[in-house]
Amino acid sequence: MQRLLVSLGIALIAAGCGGSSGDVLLDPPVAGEGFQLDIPKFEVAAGDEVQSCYFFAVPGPAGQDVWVNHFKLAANVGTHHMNIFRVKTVVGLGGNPGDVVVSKNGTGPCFVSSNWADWPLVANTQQGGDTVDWQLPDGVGQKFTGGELLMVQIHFVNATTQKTPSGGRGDANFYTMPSAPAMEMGTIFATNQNIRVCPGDTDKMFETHCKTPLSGATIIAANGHFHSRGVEFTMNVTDSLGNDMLPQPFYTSTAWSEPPMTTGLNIQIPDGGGVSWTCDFSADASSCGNPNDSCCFTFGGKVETQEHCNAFIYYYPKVQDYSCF
Amino acid sequence: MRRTFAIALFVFFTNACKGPDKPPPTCDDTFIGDPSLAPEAMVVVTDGLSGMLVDVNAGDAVPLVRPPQGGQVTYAAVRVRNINRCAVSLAGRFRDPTSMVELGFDRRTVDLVAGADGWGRPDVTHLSNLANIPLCPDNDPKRDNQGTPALLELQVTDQHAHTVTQTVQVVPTCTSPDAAMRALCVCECSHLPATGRMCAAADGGL
Repeated sequence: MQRLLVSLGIALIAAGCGGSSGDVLLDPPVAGEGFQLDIPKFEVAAGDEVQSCYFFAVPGPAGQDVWVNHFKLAANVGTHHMNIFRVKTVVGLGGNPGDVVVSKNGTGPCFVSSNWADWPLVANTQQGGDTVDWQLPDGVGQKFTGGELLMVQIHFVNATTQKTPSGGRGDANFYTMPSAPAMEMGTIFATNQNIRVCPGDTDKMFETHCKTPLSGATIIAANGHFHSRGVEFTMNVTDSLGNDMLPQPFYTSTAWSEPPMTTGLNIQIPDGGGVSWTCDFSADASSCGNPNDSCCFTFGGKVETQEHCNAFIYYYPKVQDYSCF
Repeated sequence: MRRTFAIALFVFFTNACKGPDKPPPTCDDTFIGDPSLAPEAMVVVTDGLSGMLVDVNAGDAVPLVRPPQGGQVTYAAVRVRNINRCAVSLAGRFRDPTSMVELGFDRRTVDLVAGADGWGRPDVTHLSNLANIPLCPDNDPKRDNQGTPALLELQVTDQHAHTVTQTVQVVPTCTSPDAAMRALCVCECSHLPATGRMCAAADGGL
């Protein structure tokens, strides 16, 4: 009986803590069918936030088109995000294939967003302990070139807001297409300006519109990003005059730590329209972000003490990879 | 004794199960002005440096300023009266004056501060209290947003449905005193070339 109770207790504790304590591993694609960006295991000490930037080259002969239509993205429990960018202008953050830049607790070049200002978004996940298996629609692919430099930015938190029980680790599998598809996928990255949430604030809302001069574009996937003060994140599409077009947002998330990557969308952006996104925040009266600013939480990458309101959107056919600041 | 214990137990469990306390209000929702009059408003902007809000009149240049994350925005608000002051919705928008197409939009919840002159304004000490209306990077393939007239539309609505909208035609203008920042602003606020934009430095936001 005693043994049964002990077993039951262990089971309850495990269930209460949630998630697996093991590594999330992906088998790499079969040779000739894709490639893997592998983030090896690293330690995230108690109380730390570690954000690391890993550099990879797309395999293949230099300059040769590489088309991808299927992604698998996985990261250990405790990940805050894993974002993949194409490397463009180098400003304080750079590397050759195989290099890694490790930054901690909100400081260091991997936390300085201006360093990758014009680096287009490739793909992202925020679901720790889980695998995002994302097959693009028929006839749609994302284009790379052999030798192209990519950067994987992976952020783990092992503090009060999130826990990383078994260290940082992640994998991104890119499955290639045998020939060019009919349409190319583009991305939109959007971030809100000058957000500030203070202890005692309830339902403090920020909304911004990202204008994209697209014609006949379709959104196929999206996810939103904020920190632990975030209550609800939504996205809608707007017409050219700025009016929301859908009676309900096409994306809603109330899970700040594991916001879902919504795939399988088929949302038309009206000609001359764009995307609206909202972030609702509340902060407990006893919480504290920046003690030098009335304990308020302002824009920044440190989860424990700062906030974000960012949208990741994937569409086709590509005109440009857009950024909205 | 048993009854006291039972009451204590009841109080303990009642408190234990009710969840976190609701945070205390941070703003007393006083009325600014005369409740018998309709809300009035005047569009104001700041350059983000002076800590001053200035009235905007038709034809005025309004500053395009680089916010923390990058891009270029206009920090805009209203001075307003005959409205409640707490948790108002402040929305700011640029439109093309000919087509009325929206060029940029920002809406946020702010508290107003009653001034000695009888008008309420957001606290300009924190630029997060103003509409940060994004106009750049300019994603349009043809229109230059810098130096081209635009309609600046501000709307404020309080928690009691008092609302007022003001629109004024302005010229968004890169005004940074730093030449390099001004050049960056002009680059980001010009139409998007088909080959993509290459400006000196911008920002990413993660």
